[in-house]
Amino acid sequence: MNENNLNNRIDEESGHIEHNLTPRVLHVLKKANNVSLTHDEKHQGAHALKQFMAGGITEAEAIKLGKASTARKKVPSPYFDAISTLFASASVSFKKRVLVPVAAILIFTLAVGTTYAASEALPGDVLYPVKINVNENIEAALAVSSKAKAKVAVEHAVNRLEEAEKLAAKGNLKPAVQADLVARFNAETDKVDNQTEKLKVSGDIEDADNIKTGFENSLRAHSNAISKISERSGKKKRVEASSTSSEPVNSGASNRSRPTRMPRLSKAAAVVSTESISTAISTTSFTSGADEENNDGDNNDSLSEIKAAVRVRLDSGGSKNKNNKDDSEGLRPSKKERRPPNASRGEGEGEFKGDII
Amino acid sequence: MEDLNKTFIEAYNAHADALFRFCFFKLSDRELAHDYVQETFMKAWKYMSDGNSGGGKEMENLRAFLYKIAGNMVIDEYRRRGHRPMQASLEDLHEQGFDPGEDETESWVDRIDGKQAIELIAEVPEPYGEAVFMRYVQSLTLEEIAEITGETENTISVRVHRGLTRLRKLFNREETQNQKDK
Repeated sequence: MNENNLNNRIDEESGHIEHNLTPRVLHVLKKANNVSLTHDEKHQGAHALKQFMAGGITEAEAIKLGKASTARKKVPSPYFDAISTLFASASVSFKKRVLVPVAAILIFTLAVGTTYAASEALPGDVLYPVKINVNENIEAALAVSSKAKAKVAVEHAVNRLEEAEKLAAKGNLKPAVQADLVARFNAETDKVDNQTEKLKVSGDIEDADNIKTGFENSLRAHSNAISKISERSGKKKRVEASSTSSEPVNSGASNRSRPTRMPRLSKAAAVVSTESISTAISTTSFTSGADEENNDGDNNDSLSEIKAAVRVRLDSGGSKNKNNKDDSEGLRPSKKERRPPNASRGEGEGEFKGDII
Repeated sequence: MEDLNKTFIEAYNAHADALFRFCFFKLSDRELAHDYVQETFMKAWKYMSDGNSGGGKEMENLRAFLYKIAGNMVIDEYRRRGHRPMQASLEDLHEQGFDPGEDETESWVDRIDGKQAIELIAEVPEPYGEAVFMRYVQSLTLEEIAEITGETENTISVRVHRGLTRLRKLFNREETQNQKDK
């Protein structure tokens, strides 16, 4: 209305000069004048008033009606109220000042806790997607150099194996899940291959080899672990309480529980080429699975895919380090990888602890 | 009745914003302020449609009437709450990066929004803050303010002047400090 009032220092009514109307003060006063109802608010309000006057609705209803379109803006959150009462302050600014950092801290803690809890998640868990899509993605993103990327990929590949092992040990590894894990495992090992290739190309052969070797050692260890789990779940059904795994030479023990295995292994031992050994081993696992009783959903069969994938990877690895340590406590030596030079001799000397057959 | 309704709708369109601003000044809550505006109009209408006024004088100064109703509702609200809602808006501004008292530049004035400007004015103790608000933000005449508050025009004039002084000082704390030191 009287905008002029705000532009000069003369008070219109009294005619006096108001010294206090400094530019700053005037500016603030002008800004305050900008506050008003939104178009929606006003429209809604007028409408509600009309309804009220027409006698259609009560005052309370009219007030609600007046807010109809703007009601979405403020939904009182039960959490806000609960947290506010913690501070028991009636002042608006106090709530604002403390609640924003508190909310930020809570969110941060929740995020950290979730990712931490997710790190041990297995497929089928609620947090498994977090592990895959958040934790592992972040790890991958943080890895910048080829060396780092390769290491991260190794870790993730091993994670897939561990997940399969844990699920199988529980008797909970479904075929679809295993297929997914195999696919992911293969994707990660592809990454390992790619990155180590890049390392070699760029001249860093030492790192590339170290990473590959470390990876293969891991794979071997896991290959053993997988076999152990397959056995154990099969043996659950049996009466014998023989503890195969603790014996360094297991052929005897295996003989007792699985007579059908040994003949096939002899065949395997006699074979020379790498590929046929691998297939033989895979076949062995398949058949041994079929031989054993399975009451809880093909537990032993189900690990075969993973095992095969690990096999393939070890085969095609082509690592130069053939004399890897023997980490086959309690496993049949034929499950170990044989390289052409060794295989041609029919046995890998220095590689296996136990009898071959 | 038709005339009355029409009048009220016109009044709503004319005064709803100003009343909203007034309620916001008093309550610092936008939604609540909107509710109060609605209720003010409805109460006024009820009063007038009951045949109490008989037209005439009340109609002439519907605006002052509306302000009176809103003002009383606000007083009731204060009594219910036990105090005035926004006590520490200067601290609000501080945490948002403003310091009107310390900042010698004019830039912060550009950066604040209407809500913050109103809260700044509300920092001025009552009844001076209200007088300044009514006079320079709402652009009411001294006569009107006098009628609304039930005080004399002179009282209002004094309050306005004192309010402005304090408002200016609010923004120029450095200045007054320096002057004291000298």
